[in-house]
Amino acid sequence: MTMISMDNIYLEVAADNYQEVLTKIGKLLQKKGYVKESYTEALLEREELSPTGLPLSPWSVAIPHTDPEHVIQPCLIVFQLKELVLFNEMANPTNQVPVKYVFGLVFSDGKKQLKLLSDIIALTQNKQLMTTLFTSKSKEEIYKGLKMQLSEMKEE
Amino acid sequence: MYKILSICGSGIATSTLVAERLKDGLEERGIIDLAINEANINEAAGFIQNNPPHLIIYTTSIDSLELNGIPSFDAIPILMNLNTGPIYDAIAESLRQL
Repeated sequence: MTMISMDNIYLEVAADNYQEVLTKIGKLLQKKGYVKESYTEALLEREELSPTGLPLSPWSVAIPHTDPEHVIQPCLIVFQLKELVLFNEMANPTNQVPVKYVFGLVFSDGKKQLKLLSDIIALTQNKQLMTTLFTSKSKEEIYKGLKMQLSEMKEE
Repeated sequence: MYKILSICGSGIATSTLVAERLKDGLEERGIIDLAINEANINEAAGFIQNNPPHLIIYTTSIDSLELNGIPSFDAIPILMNLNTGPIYDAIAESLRQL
């Protein structure tokens, strides 16, 4: 099972705030059958309670996720945002970070999908690849870049 | 045996990753007898009351929790895997002082 497909990479997504980003993620995932109807609200609630913005330079990243009970099939959904959107910072929620890239972690089992999280964190520290992800207008280029970095995305 | 509680928002993703990494970091420092539990922020209060850990690490704000003096460490450096040496040293030191 692959965790990502080119279909789950979205470029130039427009949103005014993080709630709108998460709502778009939830609606897309629900439409495609990855998550239950309860997912969007759970995702919003979780982000409110425990934000997922990771401060990075020059632009930050967010890794929104919520409880496995709302997930039908695990996947990774990727949003390259058109304009920067403020997310609250993980573990330091009074601070806000300007997010350009969102990795929605649709996990059904934290232990099984741990390598993916670990790979995504490593990916955020790969400056060359992040520059490609931030600026590329090609889904294919982004998919290839992600595939090189994320071992979990290879066919099992 | 040292009991550690790893707290994050959902209890499945970042808390699990930082728990695994802390286990490796402490093993390198000669601390191997560990029981690490993961909890989301809602479950954490129950854990602290019923099965109090010796130490807490967190990737979500724990300002709302009553820690009863249990030492706690921000695990974001562990999550990001950046400059983890000092935090593993500090956690090892804190456990040895128990």
